[in-house]
Amino acid sequence: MAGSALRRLMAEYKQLTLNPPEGIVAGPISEDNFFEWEALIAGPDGTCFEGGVFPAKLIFPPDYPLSPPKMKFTCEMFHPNIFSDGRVCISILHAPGDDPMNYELSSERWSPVQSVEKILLSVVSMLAEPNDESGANVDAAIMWREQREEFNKIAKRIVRKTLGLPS
Amino acid sequence: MSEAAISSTKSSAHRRQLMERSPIIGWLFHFRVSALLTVLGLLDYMMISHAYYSTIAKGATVQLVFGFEYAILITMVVNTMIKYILHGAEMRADSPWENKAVFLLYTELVVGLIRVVLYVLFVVIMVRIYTLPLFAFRPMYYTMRNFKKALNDVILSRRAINNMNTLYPDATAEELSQSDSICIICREDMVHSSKKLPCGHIFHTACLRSWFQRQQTCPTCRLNILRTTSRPATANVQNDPNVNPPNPVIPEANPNQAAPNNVPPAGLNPFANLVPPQGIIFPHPPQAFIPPFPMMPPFMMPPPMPPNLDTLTEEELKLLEGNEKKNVEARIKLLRNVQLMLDASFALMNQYSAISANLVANETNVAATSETTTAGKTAKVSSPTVDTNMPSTSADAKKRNQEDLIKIEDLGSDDQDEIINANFTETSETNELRRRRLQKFQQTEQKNE
Repeated sequence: MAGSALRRLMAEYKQLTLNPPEGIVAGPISEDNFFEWEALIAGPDGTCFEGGVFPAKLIFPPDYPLSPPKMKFTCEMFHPNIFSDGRVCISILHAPGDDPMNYELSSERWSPVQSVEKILLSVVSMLAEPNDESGANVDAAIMWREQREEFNKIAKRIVRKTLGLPS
Repeated sequence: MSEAAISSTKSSAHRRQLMERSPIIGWLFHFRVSALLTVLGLLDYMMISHAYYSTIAKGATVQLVFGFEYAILITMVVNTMIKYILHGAEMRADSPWENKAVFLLYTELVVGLIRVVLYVLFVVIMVRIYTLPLFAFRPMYYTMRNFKKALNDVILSRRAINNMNTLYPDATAEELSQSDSICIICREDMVHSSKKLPCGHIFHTACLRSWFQRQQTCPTCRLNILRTTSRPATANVQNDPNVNPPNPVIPEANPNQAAPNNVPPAGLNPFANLVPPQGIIFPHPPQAFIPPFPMMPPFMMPPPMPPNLDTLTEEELKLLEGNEKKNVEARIKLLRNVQLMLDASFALMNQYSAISANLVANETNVAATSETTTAGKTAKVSSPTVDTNMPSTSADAKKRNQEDLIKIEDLGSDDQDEIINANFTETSETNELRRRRLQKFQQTEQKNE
């Protein structure tokens, strides 16, 4: 078992439990496996995702924190920076040197200094301010840019769906 | 993890990725992977031997192409197998296995090399017996690129780790108590060996080593470790942990030290040679109205580079800085010279502008002088960028004015009409001379601007 990764994940879990950031809950799915986490992210206020609670799954590599974890929303999402299968595409989750969009600065990439908390906070700000220039979901990016009303409608529907309300 | 994926060798690489993502793996998985690798390896081996014997028996057929393809595939199987074994060994061990990444790097390197050799061999054989195998170029290109990347990774990480071991100081207890003494990579206390990077950030040596195997930057500020340590100055850092190496302190360079073409030997008065001979820098008194080009050459040379100050000792530097009376006097003298020259050029420019303003009135006369116009045009052709700063309409006029100006200088007269009339009697030789002077003047003027 990769000891240092496990110890670091435990330390982060402790930290997140003691001082949870606003709108974010995260922890291992089961205590047996610290390399798969579940996170709940509240849609930031004042945005089209306001009020929603979005579940996501984080999968950590055995050499964490040298390599970044992978993050995937497990609910339906419609967002320029989230692939249609739920994978999140933000620069903080990419190791320097692998750049799916050939776009990101190395200064915004993964480094061992980053943490689960920082990743989730970046995701919250990504929900609030989509980056339509590096589109993981091109349809969403175009709609965000050109038909904001339509986009907001879809976002509202997804928010209601995550809350279990009839749409 | 479905059985359907077991159709090609490539799927095992995919499998490995999946495996790396979820560290909790059952025995069934290990059995599947080992079985898959064995089956693929054996199949591939049989195919290679079949291709080999059929090529031996029947000569070069399509089996030759397939044979090389099989050989490439078997390198992939071997690569995956080595990674799997390394990974498994790491999972067994209780403590993190620091050398795993090194082994992985070298595996990539060796496998990449084998692939490159295979492709090159294939292309050479195909060219010999048939024709250029265009279809092989794309994979060959990617293989070579991967190999180059693997080689680069190995070299860079080795250099970074070497730097870390030899150059960077161990963090002292004092430094650890100043910061919160938590290694930000593993989030644990730094009680045992830790290193301080040139940027001042402190990490566990082991954590840093694993990170440098991937990236050669500071995890916190992303300072490129390899770029900063190429300076010779860092060699001293090890002995003196109090010196913070990030910013190379460039010794305060006195502008006077940027002296022409000599490095003052230590122990001599550095200014003895630094003040250039009066005659070269300032050949003419500013009041004399003489064409400026003779004094230009010193300015046209690139400014001399300062001597390499890194190699001097503390004492030599102090000597070079020189606070004694004679050094100060030399500096004052030099500054006076500079001031004098600035005044002179100011006066010159004033006179030029005054005369050219007068000459605008005579422009039509000047234009009538065919020789002058030709000369002006030639000048324009030979220095096409000179006039970028002036309005284009007045550019020609200004040139003519300047030419007349030179004539004025030559003749030592301020009666412009006379000069313009004198134009007609000029020989072509003097004209040519003027044209050259004019060109030179314009060039230097542009440079000075």
